[in-house]
Amino acid sequence: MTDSNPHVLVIDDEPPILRVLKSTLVTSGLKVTTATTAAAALQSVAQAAPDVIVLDLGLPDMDGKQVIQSLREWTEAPVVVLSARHDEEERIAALDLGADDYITKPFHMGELQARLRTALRHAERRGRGASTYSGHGLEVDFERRLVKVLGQEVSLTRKEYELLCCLARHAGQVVTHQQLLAAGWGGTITDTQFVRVYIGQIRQKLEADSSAPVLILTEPGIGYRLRTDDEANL
Amino acid sequence: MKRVNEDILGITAHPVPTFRAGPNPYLVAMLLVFVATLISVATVWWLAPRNLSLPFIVAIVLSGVWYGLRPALAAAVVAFLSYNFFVVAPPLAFKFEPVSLIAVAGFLTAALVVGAMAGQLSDHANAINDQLRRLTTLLAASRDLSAATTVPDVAQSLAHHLKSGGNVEAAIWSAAADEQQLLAATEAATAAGVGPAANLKSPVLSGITADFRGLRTVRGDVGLAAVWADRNAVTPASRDWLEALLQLGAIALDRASLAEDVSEARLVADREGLRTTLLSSLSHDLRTPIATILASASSLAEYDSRFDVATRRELLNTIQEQAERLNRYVANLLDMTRLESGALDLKRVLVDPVEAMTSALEHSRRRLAGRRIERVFTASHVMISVDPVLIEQALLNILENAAEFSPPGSVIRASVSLENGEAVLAIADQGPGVSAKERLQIFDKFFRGQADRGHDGGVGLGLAVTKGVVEAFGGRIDVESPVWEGRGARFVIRLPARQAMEVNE
Repeated sequence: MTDSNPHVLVIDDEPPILRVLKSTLVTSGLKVTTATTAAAALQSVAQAAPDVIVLDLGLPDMDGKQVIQSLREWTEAPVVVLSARHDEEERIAALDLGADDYITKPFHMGELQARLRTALRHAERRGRGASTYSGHGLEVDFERRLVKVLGQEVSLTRKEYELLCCLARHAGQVVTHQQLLAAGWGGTITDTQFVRVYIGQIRQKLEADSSAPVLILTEPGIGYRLRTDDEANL
Repeated sequence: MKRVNEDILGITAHPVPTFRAGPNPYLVAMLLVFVATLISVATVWWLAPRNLSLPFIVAIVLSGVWYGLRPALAAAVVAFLSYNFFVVAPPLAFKFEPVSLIAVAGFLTAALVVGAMAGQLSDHANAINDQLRRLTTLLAASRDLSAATTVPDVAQSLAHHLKSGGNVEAAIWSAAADEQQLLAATEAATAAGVGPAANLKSPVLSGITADFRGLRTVRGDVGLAAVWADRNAVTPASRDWLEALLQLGAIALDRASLAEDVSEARLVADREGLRTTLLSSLSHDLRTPIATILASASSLAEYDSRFDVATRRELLNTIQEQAERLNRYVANLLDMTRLESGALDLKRVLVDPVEAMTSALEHSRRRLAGRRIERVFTASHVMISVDPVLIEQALLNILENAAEFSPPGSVIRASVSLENGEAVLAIADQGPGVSAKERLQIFDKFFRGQADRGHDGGVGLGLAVTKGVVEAFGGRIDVESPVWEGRGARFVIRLPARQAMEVNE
């Protein structure tokens, strides 16, 4: 294992979960540090500067949202949140506070690994200021404001483009209704129905069958997610 | 108390008007006498003078028949004067002689006899009318009281009928001695400030003297009523009517409280029954996957190198499958608890039913592998007000059920349409279907159908959760079967639909 291997910090207060995650992630070529408390995690972030962080929201010593805020004071590294199924509010709050993605417990290891890859790739793209996105037959050229599906140019309205752009910049990650509202309307509108209507229009234009969307996926109660090549057949 | 009762009954203080309403009786009597005078004067040339009193007699009798004693007497006096002045010679002059006393006596006797008889008849008729009215109000009250199902409803109905039938104001309390509750009060009673507990020692409410009556049946006290009537109101009520109505109310209150006791008892019994089924379900639906996982994992740990690759693969797949099954079961168990802990804190947002259905289909893609999915979405610009996570779980459970019971290669048809202002989300499969008997129980908690035997789906809770979710958001769920050439089942969810927002750029 070399230093070029991405470094992941896993924060969870359940040792069995940590054991499984550590052995699997190490096997898949990541450098893994673990922490069972928020305090230990923050210390570890300060010392080791991980490339990506997996954070369980239910830590014994600090509220999950607070942990994210503290982490964001130290690092820009992507944070993937682990949460229980019914914590939508908590999850949305985490995403709006700067978490990059979430995954609900219990999860498939493959799913977590895909999310971690997405997060790492995303951080790297942000690092070099990527000007295009492509995946799953969809191409977005951020500089020329061009959108293509299977090589065919698609014309979108300005708002539709802003929303797709926001999804594409976070491709593979969940984007909340609030984040999409901010991207499309600059926070002047708070009614999530607008997002729903526009996503419907974008689907009409991009999806082969808009009644069975495969590009833009709905995350019930949270927001939307653009599917990447990575999880094409997950 | 006695004095108050008299007031309530209104009989002594306010006699019911005995005679028919309409024009002033005395005026009509005078008019009749006037007509009689005209007739007498007109016929004086051919009738014998002694017969000339006949029209006057007729006028007096008619006054008596129509209006009773006093107008008849008035008619008699005026008739005599008029008779004497106009008819008896010499005309246009009074002439009193002993013989005119006969006419006076005759007229007055006619008035007295007819008036008294008519008065009696009229009183009698009025009494019968009153009786009829009271019986009618009692009948209406009895009907309403027996239709009311809860104790407060019964009390409300009783107060309503006291007021509308007899203009009696009332407040009604429950009988429970330790925590007396105000069940119902008429508007005036509320205005008088009746409190949550009746104060028997002081029957005066803001200056009103009320009469307290215990509502009693053979089972004992069931309530307490305070009743009073407005002094100036004409009340058709009588003591018997009030007593009868209060007695009807007491019986209805007793029945309602008995019914509440029974349903409470049934609830307890249901809960007991549920606990038993819950325990047996838990031991089956939790233990089976745990046992399988434990067995597979421990044998892998023990015989690792002695298993061939295929066997190892199979054991690992089993562990994964069973863990997923366990996860589904726990998710449903949690949803059920969530629903039963009260619908008050249910989250509601506007959700596109088509989006809910596509999302559920997407999330059960792996589970539905090998089935042909047909999508028929005709509802557009329609929203439902639900918790998006719960409604997806509701749909996932139906899809899970369809996946469990339909053969590979068969069709699963998902549809979303708008019918009569309702969003209709339906999922049809080509499985064995649901028998008429099972259709009644399929949504019961922990129910396992005939076809379940030999399946390891562990969906005993799934359809119950689906039903719970749908009903929590004001919808209904039904299952139709067979739907495809004698096979298959179609689960239909109907939820109140709303018009979706239109956005024009």
